[in-house]
Amino acid sequence: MEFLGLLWNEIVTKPMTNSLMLLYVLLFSNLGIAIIAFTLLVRGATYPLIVRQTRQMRKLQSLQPRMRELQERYKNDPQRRGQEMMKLYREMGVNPVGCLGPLVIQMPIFIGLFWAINNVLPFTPENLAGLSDKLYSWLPMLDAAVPVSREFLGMDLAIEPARDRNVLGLALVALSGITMFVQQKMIQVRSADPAQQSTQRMMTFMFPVMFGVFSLFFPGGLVIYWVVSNIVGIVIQGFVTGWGSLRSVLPGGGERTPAPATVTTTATVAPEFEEAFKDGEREHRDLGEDGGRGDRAGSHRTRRRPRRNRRRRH
Amino acid sequence: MRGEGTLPARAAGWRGVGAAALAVALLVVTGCVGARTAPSQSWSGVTVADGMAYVGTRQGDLVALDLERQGRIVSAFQAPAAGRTDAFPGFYSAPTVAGEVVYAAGFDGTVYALDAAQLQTVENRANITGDELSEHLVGSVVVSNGRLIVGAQETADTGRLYVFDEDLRETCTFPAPGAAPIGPVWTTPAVLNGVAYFGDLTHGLYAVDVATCEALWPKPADLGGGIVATPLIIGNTAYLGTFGRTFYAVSLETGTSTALFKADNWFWASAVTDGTRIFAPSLDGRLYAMDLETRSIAWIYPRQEDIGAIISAPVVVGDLVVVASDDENLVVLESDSGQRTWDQRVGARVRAPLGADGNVVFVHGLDERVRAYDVVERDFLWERDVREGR
Repeated sequence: MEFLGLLWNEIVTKPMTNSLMLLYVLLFSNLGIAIIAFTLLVRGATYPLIVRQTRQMRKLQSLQPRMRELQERYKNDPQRRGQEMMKLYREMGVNPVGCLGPLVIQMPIFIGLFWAINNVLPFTPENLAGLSDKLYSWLPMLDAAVPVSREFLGMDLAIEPARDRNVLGLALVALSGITMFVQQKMIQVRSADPAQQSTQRMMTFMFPVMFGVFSLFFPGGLVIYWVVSNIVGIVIQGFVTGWGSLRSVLPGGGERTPAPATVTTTATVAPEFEEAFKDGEREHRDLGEDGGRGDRAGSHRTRRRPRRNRRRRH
Repeated sequence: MRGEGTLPARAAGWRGVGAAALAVALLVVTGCVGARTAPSQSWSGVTVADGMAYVGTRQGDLVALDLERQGRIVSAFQAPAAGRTDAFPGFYSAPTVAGEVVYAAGFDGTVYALDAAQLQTVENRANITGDELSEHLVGSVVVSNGRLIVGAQETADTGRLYVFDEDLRETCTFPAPGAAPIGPVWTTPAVLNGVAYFGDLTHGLYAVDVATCEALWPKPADLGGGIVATPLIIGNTAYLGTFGRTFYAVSLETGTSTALFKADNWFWASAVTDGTRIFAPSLDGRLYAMDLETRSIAWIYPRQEDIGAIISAPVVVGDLVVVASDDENLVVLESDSGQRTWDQRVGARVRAPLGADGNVVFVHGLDERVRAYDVVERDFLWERDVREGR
């Protein structure tokens, strides 16, 4: 456990602490600006990963008509339906919980940054003494920058908004929840399944509320990171998948319900995946009614159908 | 249809809830939520006077130990906010004894005046700077000519030197209200001939007349790093190290500084002297001995390895210098050669400045125990849990 702590410290906390300090030195000794710049750099570094995740989600969305088709086809055989849908996910290289990807990726960064801000802002003597151990000796300008200025636009970046009660701090807390909600809404893959829809709805509200409440008890500097990170996430999402999904969170936009099963697929398929989907459709037609899900799956279904029919007759 | 859900949909749902729970667990386990700003430790030094040792605790207690009865606790004071995690009433500073009164500065910004015999409150002045959130007292109260002098952190980035009379009535401050602010003051000022010499965390060393709170130098000495150490005053010069890893000599007359030597990490603790050498500990885990006459390094202990960061100020006992470290080491060295004569594993990290009475050195560990060592006879004498005073 001690080794893991050491590893975490050397790989995550120390580099983050030194990077943040360096940005502070370079950016007018203003920690607020340094945190914003740091966030942009971190989001820039994880950009390819986020884009990949976003595309995955888009792909998942484009599968909705086929999923509805499977649901319809196997409505009396939930087990089979589940197997087929998992198979569809596998074949299309889609992760059904992909919408959580960006959040999960951000968690270690968020926790690392928490400790970096904790290290950089000396609230107590032990914080300050501990910082000496975390600064690289080959960056002597960092020693001279200690202690960093904690104020940013009248807000104490080391103190939790719940205690500081600064208007800007409280506004940032609200903004952290709102931006997260918007991001979640944009990320979300519209499901055809009511149970999944209900879970999605719960998650869309739960995460923003949860992090909004947590933000009250995080140092102000961390809340800045969270808000900027969410805004960058919204922008990335907008550029990758378009701004259409943002309409659902705007007043009067309403939440779009999944299209009925009879609606043609082109209505929900993104242009960049249309081709992939058409390939899938082609494959689906070429390989027969079972959708070309493989011989084993097809033969399995043909074996079971007469049995089900027999049960019904009884 | 509702609630039926497909297997993947259900799995996705539960995985989502699981991820949320994991996120919450991660935040809680890693300590990201709650109690972040509460001090996890404090390191009040031991002050010895009239056969008693006085020491403060992290919880906001101040106890008196009877040195003739193996440190038995004879009286204890509990700060009104003791035990509250949102008020931080603990003590980083060593108590100051002046006649029949013990003065103590709490981290929450309260100065206490207690009678030395019973540790009953004579006076207290809570929230001295007026900013409840950010005000902190880290350095000790200094008593000089009927004046109490204490440095304070006032807001996140500013501080002030306060001068009180013995009844804790404010007489003046530096800087005066409305004047340009200085950085947080965590040092215990060194007071000589009515002048307080102290540093702030934003690199400045100041000389301030205690009677008028006027600065004596045209501008503060910029020492290139945060200052926590109390300046060691010898003759016309103040000696101290800073977070810039450099040890300086500063002229008391002009405030002109001269860099003397560098360490591999910050200087936190105050230096001490035996009259011919200065002993300066560093967070690099070494004790540097500098010859006062030649201003050259006489010896460094240890030469190769280190004994752990030294936050605790050393103490000179006869021809020995004693130092304790964050790695639980207590080392006794010959002051002229730096040869080790004795060492002990304390059993706790040591950050509080060491106290001494004759041959006996008192060590207050982070485990809230005070230990007594006879460093001449090389003997461990006793230890006492100061929390017993509660």
